Amino acid sequence: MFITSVKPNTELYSLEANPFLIKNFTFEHFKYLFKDTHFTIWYRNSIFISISATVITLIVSFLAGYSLSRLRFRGSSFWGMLVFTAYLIPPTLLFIPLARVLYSLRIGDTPLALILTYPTFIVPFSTWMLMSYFSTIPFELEECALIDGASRFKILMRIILPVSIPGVVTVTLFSFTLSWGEMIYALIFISSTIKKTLPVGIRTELVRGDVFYWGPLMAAALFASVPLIIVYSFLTSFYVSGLTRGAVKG
Amino acid sequence: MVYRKDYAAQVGYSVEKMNRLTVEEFLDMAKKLDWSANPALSAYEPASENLFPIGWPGPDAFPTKASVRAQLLYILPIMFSKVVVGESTPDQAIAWAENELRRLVEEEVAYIMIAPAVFIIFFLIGYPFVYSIFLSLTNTSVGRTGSFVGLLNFARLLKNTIFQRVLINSGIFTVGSVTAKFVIGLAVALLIEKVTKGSKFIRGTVLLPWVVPTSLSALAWWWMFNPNFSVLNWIITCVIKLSSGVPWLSDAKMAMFSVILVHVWSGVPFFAISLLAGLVSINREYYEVADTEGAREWQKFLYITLPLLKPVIAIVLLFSTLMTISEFNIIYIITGGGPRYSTHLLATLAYQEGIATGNLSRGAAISLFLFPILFVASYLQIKTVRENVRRF
Repeated sequence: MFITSVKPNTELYSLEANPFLIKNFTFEHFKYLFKDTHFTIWYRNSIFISISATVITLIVSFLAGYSLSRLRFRGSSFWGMLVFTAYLIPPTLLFIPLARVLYSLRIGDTPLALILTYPTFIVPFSTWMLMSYFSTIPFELEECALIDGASRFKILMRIILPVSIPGVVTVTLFSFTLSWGEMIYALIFISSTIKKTLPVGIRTELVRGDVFYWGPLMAAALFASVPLIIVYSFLTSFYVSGLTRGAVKG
Repeated sequence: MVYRKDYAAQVGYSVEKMNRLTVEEFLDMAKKLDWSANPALSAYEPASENLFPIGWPGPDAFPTKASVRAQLLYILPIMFSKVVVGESTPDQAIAWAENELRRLVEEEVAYIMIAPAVFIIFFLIGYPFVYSIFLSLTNTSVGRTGSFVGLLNFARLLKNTIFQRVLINSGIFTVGSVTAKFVIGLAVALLIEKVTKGSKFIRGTVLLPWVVPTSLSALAWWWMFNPNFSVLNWIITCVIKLSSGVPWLSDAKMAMFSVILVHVWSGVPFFAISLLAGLVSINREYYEVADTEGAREWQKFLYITLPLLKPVIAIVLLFSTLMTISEFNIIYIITGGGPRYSTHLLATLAYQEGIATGNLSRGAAISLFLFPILFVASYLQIKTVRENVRRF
């Protein structure tokens, strides 16, 4: 991706050149990308939508995960199974009716449409993962706090949250990545060019007919993946331990 | 022994009324009662204040007043009755009441906490799902409200040769991808487990295809599949010196192979990590015993590793089947379903019919063909999960 993005067009489309070598280093694709396309706007849209969806997901699944794994209440196993079933329904089954629902709510073609619908496929998984994570925290921790007179919400914020940081980080990353790379919903619910997210913008606006803009295309894909790669390279060990403690048990 | 009817008689209540006291009536009763008559009971006079469980911020602080009152109504009379009819000692009754109140409060907190998730599941998953069934039974298209046509959409689809082709494609894509992902994923997991040096780096590298979303990595693959200017065919023609490049995307069979290749590339990390987690959790002692018995590597793998890994394998396979059969991004980006419908899957066809063409009900019907498969796989998965939960 990187090589293609810094090669001039003449070299890119020559049949003899070795594709791994770069003769004339160029930034023309990047320049084109940032000046002549809506790339920066899509970038901003993606960041805004992914962060909002992640925040919603975190709050919702943290609360639900805690109550499902820790609190005794009637029907808790039923709700648990419901969450699990929801987790097995892929977006591909829902995009047509959801599009209708969003347009009838008059939020089609707005960022809100995506912010509201992204949690639908992230929350069930996150909840399930946090549930398994919470169940590894010893009950004694909470009991001590209960005896000291702390309320449930205090316990949640002061005791459960700090000890479940690896799980929360995993869920955050997971949720952000999924929102960042999501394509079906973004493709269908958003139609204006300036409201598109990165993957959709790149695929639908940078490719025009038979003239392929491979250089800028690769530059765009590269730039779009960079934040994720950086974050993961720092947090890999966190992520793997969070996953292996949480996901697989579910 | 003091009986409930004695209390009732003292304050002029019937026994039935004793069981359904309001807070005020209860306090009223408590005042009217001659507590000194039974010194054991007088200790419970301030019970209504002490009864709130520790951590409970008090009746007015958190849930509705009505609900607290309901709790008092239900718990306090029963607590007193228990002592009064001699069913339990005062200490037991207090313990019971406190536990019961705590449970009720917990239940209320639990419902509040789970409410947002339930809202999302019901309104943004459950409702659209039901709505898509409804749509599929009508002939709705964009800008036109349809009328009920029964199962016509499904019947037409099943007779349609393009749709039959798509069903076959989905089968090939799913079986091919899942098998390949499983074999490679297991190999990678075994490899990572054996290698101790630089494991962090290897893990990071293995994770990479998963970290980059398919909606972006597929773009790079798309470029690599370019027949004239890109890496893959350059290697084939200039390094291996084959006369002509491979028609990665223009030939129907090769196109299917190419998209499976990309899907497998992106899906292996999930298998590798999940199976690795399973491998790590296997007790070392089994292998040690096998070593002393002189077992070979493949015997250990076949008779220890695989059977113990079975629950993880089952879950990962089922989950991956669901995700594979509903694949959209890779197909949409790389082939768009072509050439000539040879790589269209249910999801991309549903998109093309339902959104691009605007035939909503037909699109909904196409996506609903995913449902039987989802249903069976979910059922099996839930069964496996439940069995595992029981075992541990």
